[in-house]
Amino acid sequence: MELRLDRLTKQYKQKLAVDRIDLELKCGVYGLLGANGAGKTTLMRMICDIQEPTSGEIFCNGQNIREMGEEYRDLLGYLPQNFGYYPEFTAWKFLLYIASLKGLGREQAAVRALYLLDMVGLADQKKRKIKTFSGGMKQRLGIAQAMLNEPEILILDEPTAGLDPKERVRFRNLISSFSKDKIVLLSTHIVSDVEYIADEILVMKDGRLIHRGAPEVVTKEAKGLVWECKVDSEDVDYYVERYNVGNLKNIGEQTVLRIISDACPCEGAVEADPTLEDLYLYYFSEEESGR
Amino acid sequence: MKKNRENVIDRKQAEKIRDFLKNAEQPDIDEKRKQQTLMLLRMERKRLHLRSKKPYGQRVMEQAAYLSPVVWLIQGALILFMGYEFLVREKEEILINLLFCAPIIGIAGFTEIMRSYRQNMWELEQACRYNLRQLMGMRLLIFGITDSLVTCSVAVMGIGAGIHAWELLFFFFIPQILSDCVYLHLMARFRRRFQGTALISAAVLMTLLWMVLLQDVLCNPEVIKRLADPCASAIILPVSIGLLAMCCMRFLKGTETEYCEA
Amino acid sequence: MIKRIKQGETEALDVLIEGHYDGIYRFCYYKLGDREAAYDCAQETFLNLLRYLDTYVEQKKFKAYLYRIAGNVCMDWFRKNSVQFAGEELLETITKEDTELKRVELSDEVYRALQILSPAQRDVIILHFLYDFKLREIAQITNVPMSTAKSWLKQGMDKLKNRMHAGGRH
Repeated sequence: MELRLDRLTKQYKQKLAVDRIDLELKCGVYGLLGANGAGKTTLMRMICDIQEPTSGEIFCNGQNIREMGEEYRDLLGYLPQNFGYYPEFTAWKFLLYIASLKGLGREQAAVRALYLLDMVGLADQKKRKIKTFSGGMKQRLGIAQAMLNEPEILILDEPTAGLDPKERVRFRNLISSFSKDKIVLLSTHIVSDVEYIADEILVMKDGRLIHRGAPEVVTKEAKGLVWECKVDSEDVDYYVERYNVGNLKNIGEQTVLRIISDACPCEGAVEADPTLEDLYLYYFSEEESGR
Repeated sequence: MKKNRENVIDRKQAEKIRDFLKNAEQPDIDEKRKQQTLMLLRMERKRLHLRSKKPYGQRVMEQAAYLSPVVWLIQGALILFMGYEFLVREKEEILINLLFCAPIIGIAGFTEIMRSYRQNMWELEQACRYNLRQLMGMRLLIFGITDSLVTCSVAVMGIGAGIHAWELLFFFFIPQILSDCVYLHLMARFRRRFQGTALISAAVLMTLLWMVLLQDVLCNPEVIKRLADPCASAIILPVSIGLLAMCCMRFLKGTETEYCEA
Repeated sequence: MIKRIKQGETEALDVLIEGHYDGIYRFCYYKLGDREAAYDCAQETFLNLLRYLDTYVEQKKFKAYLYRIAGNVCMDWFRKNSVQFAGEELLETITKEDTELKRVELSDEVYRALQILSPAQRDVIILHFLYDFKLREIAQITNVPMSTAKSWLKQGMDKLKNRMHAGGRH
């Protein structure tokens, strides 16, 4: 399975959401990292053939997805960021409904729905209406519906939003087991979700892919940019204002700061091994702080 | 006797042959070839699933099962209401009530059609094999059939109550069809923003419009004569139906183009 | 099994292969006498099973149905490769000259013996003695009346008996 994006562009009236992206995706898990407004959702919508690009094309195994139409959508599983549902539907009815839209027969749909509900831990909730579900439960249901048709290409937009740590671990295991010969593209703010399961990280900023590579390779970019230093607690505000502080930890009257900076921020600061989170902060601290 | 001897021979012979054949060297199985077969089977199953299309009728029936039962209740209530009106009211009052009901018949159905947007399901549905356009098409077909049944029921009751065919046409069918055209146009234009209260407001306006347009008709013999002429019906009815078909196509075509806000 | 495959259970295909691939491969090998051909035919058997899933009638025994498909696939292979069944005389020619039937591997006494049988007799012999199918099932697989299957079995057994005696086995 191969997906190729050829100079993909999406221009809205006031904004260039996706800017000439060239990308080849083969089997494996791809983590799409980027701040809000980076163009991740627009990119994913175009891959799912929900939005038409302004220019550029997408090819699946050499065929244009627009020409493939139904055949392409049959290979897809998609979980949107803002996941809607019909409130009066039960979890069971919802999955059967989506299964019917995905072309599954009734018996096949029932088998898959049972299997997936069990996999996401909602088997005993299947008769409950979705409007009574918590955010995490709705998200798990969303993940289940995306996998109903055993898709070859799984696109998940912020799939771990609203999941507690235990559910996130379960989700990571689910994706890892699923991705053997499939393309999985998931976008997230939560770096730890992709750090351990992604084969490749794609970093997106202002509609462009600014970086891609295996997590450890991409993380190396932040080498020499991450510092740890101990400062007096009363000085913390000073550093937070001036520098990109990734983490702070109080130890008695002092605070250990983890600072992302091109230059050594203060005397006594020690260079630290960068993590993917540090890289994310390095690229997106401005967007995240809303400056 | 001979048969028994043959059987005995056969059994002994069979045993010898069995022993002989079991001496055959069992060929080793190449695991890679086995796994290759399994992989090909999986691909073939996918390919067959792609090729196997559910019959359209089956898909429509499946969709109908997921529609809200409230819609059917409303349509049933409309039929009962009109039936009652035909029994107890005078002709002039019946015609006014027909004008009143005509724009309302479509509301329940269109509200149901648009709920993909209302409940934010459009994105999920658009990414499915039978996408949003096909889904909307099925819903339009279902409500087209049910609305037609309601219309036919009203027509039959009307004729039974002594209403002329041309009166049914100009006081009921045409206002209903043209109201539906207006709703479809507004739905295509505004999508997610046009539903719920907007739809009801449009229905109220359409009702008032028809009332205003046709109130003179009841008092004007010249106009009545023209409307009663079969030529008028022969022209206006197909034109209205054609317009409705165009509005449906335009609405469906619009589901293909993106309307996501940035 | 068929029901599970039709219902789209992911594991059903794995179970199918694990349970039946070896037997089908060996059946094809006994019939064709060639490894590569046997792999190809085994693969084609399973693919055909999937393609014609809808025509399967639940009452029939699944294993018999599968072997029937395998038998047909092998017959198609014979036809495509224009291989006549090797009668005793032809067998002598092969062992001496080994010409246009080079692909037929005759590595073992048993396979040589099987080659003297007609394809129909070979099928019945293999299915009965190596796979322990009953005559009724063999008739289903080969799509002939039970009496025909029984007479093929008898004929095959007689030929093999003679061959075994000729080869000094008894």
